[in-house]
Amino acid sequence: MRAAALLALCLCSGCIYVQWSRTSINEPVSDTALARIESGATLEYCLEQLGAPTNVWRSRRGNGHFGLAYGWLDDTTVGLSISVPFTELFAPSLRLSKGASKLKGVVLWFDRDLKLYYVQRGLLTELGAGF
Amino acid sequence: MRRTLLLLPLITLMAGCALGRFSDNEPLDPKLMVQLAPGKTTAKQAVELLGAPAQVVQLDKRSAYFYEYINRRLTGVISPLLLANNDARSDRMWLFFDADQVLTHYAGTFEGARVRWGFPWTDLHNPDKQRAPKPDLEALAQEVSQEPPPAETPAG
Repeated sequence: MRAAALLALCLCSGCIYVQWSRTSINEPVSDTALARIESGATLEYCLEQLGAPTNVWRSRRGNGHFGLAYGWLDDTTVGLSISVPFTELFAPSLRLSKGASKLKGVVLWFDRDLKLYYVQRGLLTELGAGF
Repeated sequence: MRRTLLLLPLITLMAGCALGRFSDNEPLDPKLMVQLAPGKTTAKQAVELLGAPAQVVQLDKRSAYFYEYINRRLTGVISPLLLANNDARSDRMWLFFDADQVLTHYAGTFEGARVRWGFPWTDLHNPDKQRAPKPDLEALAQEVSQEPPPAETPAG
């Protein structure tokens, strides 16, 4: 009885909670639209097919090449949080969760003549390395 | 024990709810975008039309101007189970200029208005079924060209 009352008290005060959250940012690039794009495609055609990118990256090689980056996220996190407020200044907490925010993306690389020469897919934070 | 069991649904009913609306910048207007003319519009004219860009990227001798509006919706049910959904969509516009600062290409994506309230199980990302319809730029351009020019204010 006491244990049940204590559990109810914890639930009431928000000391323990189970978290199920989802974050979605922008709409992913359509596979259908991406399949229509081939190496050698013009900048105009790619913009027409995919719309405005989320970023434009200048190549680090200094060769005038640049990339159109399209990023999106659809991430679900499930976790358990426990917080015990002992005093006003001391409230230890524990969070166990699965899932991390990872922005997915596609980057289209163009040469000086504005022709597509390479397409990268993966995590946006990892794309662009080597360009 | 029975009393405790009766309390549990009550606790659930007492759960807090949270709704949040957040946005950065003003929504972008496709009607303004269709007034841009590749080969004619200069960077100066584009800025007069659209305002200051959020970002300028220097691409060797070329440059790219970025305009963005971000719209977010946060849905949450708090305690004992925290259910939260954070949805963000944006209007984006990129303008590409050549070395002479003349527009060569532009593109716009207008998804900011499609942001939604939802729950973690709500499928907001389905690219082929829920993709925002592209604005009919040709129809918009025609509409803009048919609009009467703004009346000039007589100089006082």
